[in-house]
Amino acid sequence: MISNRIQIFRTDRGLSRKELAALVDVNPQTIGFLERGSYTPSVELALQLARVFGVSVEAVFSLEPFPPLAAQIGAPSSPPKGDTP
Amino acid sequence: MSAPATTPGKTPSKAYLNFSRNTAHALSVGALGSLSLWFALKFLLTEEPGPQQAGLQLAVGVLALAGMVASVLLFLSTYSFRANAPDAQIDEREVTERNRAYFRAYQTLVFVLLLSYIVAEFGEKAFGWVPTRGVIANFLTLLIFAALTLPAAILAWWDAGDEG
Repeated sequence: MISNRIQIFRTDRGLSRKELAALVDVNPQTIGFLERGSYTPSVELALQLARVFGVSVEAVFSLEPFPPLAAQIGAPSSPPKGDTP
Repeated sequence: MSAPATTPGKTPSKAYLNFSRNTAHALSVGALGSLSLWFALKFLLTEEPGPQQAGLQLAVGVLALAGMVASVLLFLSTYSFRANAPDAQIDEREVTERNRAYFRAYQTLVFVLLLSYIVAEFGEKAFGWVPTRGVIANFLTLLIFAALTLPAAILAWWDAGDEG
């Protein structure tokens, strides 16, 4: 099962499902299927989506579930390398 | 990749009837249900038309007409377009769904054929019943309409609606 952040990136870019669907040349229903994780896209479609969002494909798709957004925001930033004992 | 001939997911609304999901469900049940009932009731009809047979004859005729009209309407719907569209006119998810729908329809028809073969063989061995030419013709009619409408009907039942 592949996890994705399509909905997060789509809303962040201010795109509707229909607009995103037009940008990657698919049916708007397919965006809904992708966002719910009901359909795993082809490599080509995954790359197209990443290109539309302007990020790497790994930022949009992952083999492991993405951590919740709140956990990512609240996570302490990693200390600089020199400070570690 | 070359650009598709038309935008994926766009159905030519002028050529195909854009029924709602519920209407397509009703049409698929109407088409396959009416024709199956028509086929079953045909067995009750005797060769000599009597007063008792008149009502049954009418019911059989109405069922055949209703089933065929519903089949044709479903065949002209956007679900049928999706079921029969070339790869370039639908997106990759729709291609996958179309292929799954055809495979499911194929499995169903093979099951029905196998079952009817067993019934015919058993009927002959156990009761000496051999299907007449008329029964075989009716059965083929049922199968043809089922084969034409099943992929579109399956797609209609799988449709998740506008929200996807």
